[in-house]
Amino acid sequence: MDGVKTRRRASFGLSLLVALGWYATVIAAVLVGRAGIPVAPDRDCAAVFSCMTPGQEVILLMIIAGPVLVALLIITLPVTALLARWVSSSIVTGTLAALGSVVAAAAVGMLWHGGR
Amino acid sequence: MKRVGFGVLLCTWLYGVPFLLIVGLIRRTSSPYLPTRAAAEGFGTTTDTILSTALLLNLALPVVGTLLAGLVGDREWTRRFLWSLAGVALIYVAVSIAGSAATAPLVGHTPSDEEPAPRITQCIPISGGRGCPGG
Repeated sequence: MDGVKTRRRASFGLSLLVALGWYATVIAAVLVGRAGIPVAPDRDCAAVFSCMTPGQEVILLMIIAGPVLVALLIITLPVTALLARWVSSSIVTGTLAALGSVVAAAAVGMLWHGGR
Repeated sequence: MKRVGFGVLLCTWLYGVPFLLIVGLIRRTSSPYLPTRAAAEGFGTTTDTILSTALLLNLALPVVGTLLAGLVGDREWTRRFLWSLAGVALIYVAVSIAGSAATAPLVGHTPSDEEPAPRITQCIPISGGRGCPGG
């Protein structure tokens, strides 16, 4: 519609917010989903970390997933900046950036794991 | 004010529907501890409600948004909501892929429970079929 006028670019800040929203949504959904599942009361709790309350799970997740999440956020920044140059919609940019960052983080994690 | 309303509607669809879908699919694929048949049916009903609400909202929110934006005459938001219909289709395709991977239907499935099967206490002999011990 704009013809030869300069192509609109997605707002970087808004795209980043959309991507962060995706992370928050998915993490919250997994926690809520897991919290709603009843567990057997007579489980064998001898092993470490075998029986945890949802609160303890969140704490453990923060300790383990904290660095992963930080890495994910760092990866998200350049991916969003790159995508925002091509895509004009902030929502599409943020969604693709979140997806791409997760894929990139998983690839980096696998390389790191395989390299050890 | 108008823009805020449309923004809330779009964000509810964008994040609310995947949120409900993830919660529902985690419940659906889990193997929960359910001591009685009634508990299993209750768990299954809640899961069904979450999943069907997500699938309904997935279509309803963008359609309502498109209609409202068209009614108000906001071309920018009409365009956005029309584009979100592509997302609606994507979500339905993703759900149908997840549904085809499952052996039981995605909605309307009751998980197994721990209730012991009722013991047979009475034997009814069938002529030509089966006899009863001591009879």
